Amino acid sequence: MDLVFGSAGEMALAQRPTVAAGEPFEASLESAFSEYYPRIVKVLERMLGDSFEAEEVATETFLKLAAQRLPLSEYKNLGGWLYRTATRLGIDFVRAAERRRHYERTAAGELQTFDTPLEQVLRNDRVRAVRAALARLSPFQSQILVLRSHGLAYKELADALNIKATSVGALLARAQAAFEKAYRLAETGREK
Amino acid sequence: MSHVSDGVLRARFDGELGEADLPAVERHLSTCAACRARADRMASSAEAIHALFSRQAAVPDETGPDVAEAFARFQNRRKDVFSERVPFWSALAARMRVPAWVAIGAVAVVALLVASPPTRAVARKLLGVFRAKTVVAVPMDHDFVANGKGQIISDLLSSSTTVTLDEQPRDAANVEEAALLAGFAPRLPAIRSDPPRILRVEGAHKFYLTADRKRVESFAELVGRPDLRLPPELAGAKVMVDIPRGVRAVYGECPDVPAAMAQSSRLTSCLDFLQVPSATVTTLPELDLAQLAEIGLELTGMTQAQAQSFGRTVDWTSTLAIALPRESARFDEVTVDGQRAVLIVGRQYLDWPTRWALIWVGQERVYSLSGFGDPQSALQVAGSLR
Repeated sequence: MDLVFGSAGEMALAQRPTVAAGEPFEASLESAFSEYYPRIVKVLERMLGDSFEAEEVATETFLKLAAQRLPLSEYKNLGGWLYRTATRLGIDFVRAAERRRHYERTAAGELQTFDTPLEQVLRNDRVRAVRAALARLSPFQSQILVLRSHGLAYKELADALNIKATSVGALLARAQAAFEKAYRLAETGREK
Repeated sequence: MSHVSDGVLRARFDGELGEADLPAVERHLSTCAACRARADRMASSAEAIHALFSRQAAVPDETGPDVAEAFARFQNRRKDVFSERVPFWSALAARMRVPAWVAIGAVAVVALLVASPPTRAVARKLLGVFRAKTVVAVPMDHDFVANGKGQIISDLLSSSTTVTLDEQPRDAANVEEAALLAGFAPRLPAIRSDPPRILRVEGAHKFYLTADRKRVESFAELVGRPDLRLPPELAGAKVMVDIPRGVRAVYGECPDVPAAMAQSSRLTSCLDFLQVPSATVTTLPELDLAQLAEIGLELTGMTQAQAQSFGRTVDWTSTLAIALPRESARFDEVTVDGQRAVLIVGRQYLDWPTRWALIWVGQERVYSLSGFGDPQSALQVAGSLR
């Protein structure tokens, strides 16, 4: 049983939007969720360096899918749509987090910096630098790099990102150069 | 053949160069030292970047997400406009259902009850009866949740829950009726000239939990921390929780269609105010709350030294602990009604308006006030309560 009553879920709204979708939609949504959710989380972990956030953004991705109210059979390439949407939400998330970073530093207080194991400190620094670099790239460049690293073939990348398969190599090369530059900057220009 | 482009080199590295192009490229590389050098450079850079991303994803003892749980959470959020649109809110609401953030045993029950900002629970020591007098925020590591430790603690307590009273909420026509139903006169913010759009008396609840003997004994193994042994007297311990009726007042234009989220100016009129007389949590007096709290704090990501020094600053028998995921929210300690209060500010997400919540305990009541926009407005609203 759910012990938390009066949770945010019951925010006492007079009219909630009814989920008026038919049964087939619900069933296909559930099977799409089971099929793709783990993969989407994996991609987002590559981008965000944090499984909690990856799951949050993955959930947002499926909320977006559900909000489209479009029968899933209508999607030419559902996996591609999910990859594109998830990485785009992920990069928006990274950018927003980067903008707010100084807030978080003050908010987290001393507890988190004090006595943290060295390995964790190094990981945190690396995660931060990768995120700072991704935030400096164009969203598209971040998306293509992360999706390629996740293991998408050129054809799949082309489908997911609406580009021509023949230009994937050149776009990757450019994104890679941009990332390298941004990462070096993020590493050396780190405030901490 | 002219020199090979970076794009072609990258495609060659990825094994994506067409059969037709490959021989010509290889032939050129065999004669062009400069292009070979560029190809090597391209490969090592691509590998380095791939390694960076892969290490981003590296989580120790990775089992992947729990899809069934994730789907349930997803379905939950679809029903709830607020959390569907505001990840901070959902992080607090959905994730914090796991009662574990703060500590185990009675303290965990408190956490479980206050798991979401409509705050409920509490503590005063009186032969093992607790009632909240103040409030404290505890930052929590994500991997605490992600690695399923929260679930282990949740199971520890919630596997054996007996509900003895579960009242439904009732809408009240006016403040007088709400006072009559709730059994106390609710305070309302004078700063709002509009009447509450919803005035609701939340039902009373009573239940008890029994800490599972086997799970208590194997706890240290379950969480992978042999150093964290639960006190044996927790096994089979009963925790009684008694939550009285509360009053919720909702003001203004709270969005009921997702599209409304885009109009942030309207959202700032939305205000959700909940007040509940402190619940009572009764458990065995011999349970060492401070010890349980320290174990809980260590599980949320503190070291033993931190847990001890933080734990000492808190009287666990009278403190409402609110655990916050570090990355999802920041919090400040402020003063309301002359009491210590916690102002939680959600992390900016996309361009959606900031969500905030203000929680404090005063006059034997737990208050939770939440809204959108400038968090400082929370203090003005709280200051105008009559």
